[in-house]
Amino acid sequence: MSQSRLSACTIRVVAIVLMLCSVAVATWSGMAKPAVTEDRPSIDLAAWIPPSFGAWRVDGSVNVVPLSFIAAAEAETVYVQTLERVYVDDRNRRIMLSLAYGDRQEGDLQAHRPEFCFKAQGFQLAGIHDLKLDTGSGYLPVRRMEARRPGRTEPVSYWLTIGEQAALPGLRRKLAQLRHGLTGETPEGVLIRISSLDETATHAYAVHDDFIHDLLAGLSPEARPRLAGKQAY
Amino acid sequence: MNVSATHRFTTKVTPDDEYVRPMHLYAIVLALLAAYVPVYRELAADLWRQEAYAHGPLILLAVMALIAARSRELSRLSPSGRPLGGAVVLLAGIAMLWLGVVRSFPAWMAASHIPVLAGIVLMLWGRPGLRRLWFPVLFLVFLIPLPAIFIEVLTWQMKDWIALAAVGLLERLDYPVARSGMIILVGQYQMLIANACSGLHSMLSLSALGVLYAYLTARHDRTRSILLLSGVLPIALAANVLRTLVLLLVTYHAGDAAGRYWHELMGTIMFVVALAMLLAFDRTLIMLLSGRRS
Repeated sequence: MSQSRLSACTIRVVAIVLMLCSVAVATWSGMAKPAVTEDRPSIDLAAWIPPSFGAWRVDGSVNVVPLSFIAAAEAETVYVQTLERVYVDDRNRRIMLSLAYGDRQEGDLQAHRPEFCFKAQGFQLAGIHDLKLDTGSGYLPVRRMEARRPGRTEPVSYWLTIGEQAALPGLRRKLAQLRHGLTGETPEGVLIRISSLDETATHAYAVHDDFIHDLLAGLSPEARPRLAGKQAY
Repeated sequence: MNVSATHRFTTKVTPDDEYVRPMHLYAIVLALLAAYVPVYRELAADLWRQEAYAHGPLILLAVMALIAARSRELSRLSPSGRPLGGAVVLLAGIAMLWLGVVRSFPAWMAASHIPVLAGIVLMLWGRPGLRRLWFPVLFLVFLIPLPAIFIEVLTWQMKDWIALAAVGLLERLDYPVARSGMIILVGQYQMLIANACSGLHSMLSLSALGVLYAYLTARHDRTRSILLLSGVLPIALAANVLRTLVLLLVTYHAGDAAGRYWHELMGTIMFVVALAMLLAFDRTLIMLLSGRRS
């Protein structure tokens, strides 16, 4: 063994240092910077949802107040933009429309899910079910539930988007999220909640469907995929 | 000169050369810093700013101290015979770190600490090394954020328990109190149990602290450490029930403004109270267990 030969330990240490340095060099030189995908304009919810479409227009008289997103008041949801409106149509049917938009990953929007939001404000939820709403040129995955508390029965329909894909909470959404994660985008997400004060859920859902059809038809071409996903068209 | 030196080396049974020397460790620490400083910069701007994970840097400090405390012992350990397994673990950790940085996943960046440290230890000293450092390696788990949906469900459940306990107690004391979901009414006041009130934030840091405390003081007493660990979560929950109670009472008796003022303060106070409760619990355990033995 000659003196100049490196000890086994030194060789290992060099190997360790080299491995660590490969990451270090990559990060410091900016090679590992996350892919920037912020070329799309961020959403301005109030501007994207037209004040009137089809037979619907914003209801000026405030007889009905949508249940506010309870989490919106909390500090952890600073990334979320919300919009709450009441629409009325020519047959005097009223719909409460509530949107929450998050420009970052998941999490923040989860807190706005109606399941949590309504329960937090003392509602019991019943008849939760999912369906694919036919939009004429595609479909929209919608979740429905009846929220009840003394003095207020409120059937709810809602969906979520991730990137330009609509997906209800669950495995599909997780997969979509993962796919976005691997391609390096941080997908935006929108939660769209439609509800009305109605003792009869089936009747309420029929009104919801009318409203959704008119809303989708009334959206601008650029707003549509981001609010309802590409499958809807 | 050369010949005699060579001779000296070859005749020695365990040459100095074959131990891990301080120089080696300095080099590794420097390389670790080079790899992780950008990561910490990113975590500091994101994950560590969230109340629930603000304890991240403290976890790192604790791990460093725990490793340093073992340094003398490690320096006498002969190096591992087969470093390849460790290299695989380290590479997996580096891949995780890389992916975390490229994709800006704080969870991956944080989680990479475990295989990176374990891999280095295995490469240098093999399993005997890891046996001596298992705790600091596993303690790094507290760096990893919980998945959002898990947090959501947990937060919900804890808020439910807290509301249930607080309202139940106040009812028994004949206060005019009612609850609707996460809204509690006391007298003319209406209070919302926000997510922050679930105590999940303090629960994570308290768990980390409890685990560290159990390791440092009760490591050799299995019964005591298990009991101690199982006490951490109930204690954190109790502290938060207490906090909610105090806030409800302050609001009821002294008004909204006072309630809001105390809301800010109670977070810190409750952490200290929970810690004191944990220590008191440990005292009790020591008393009971020593009573059992004698």
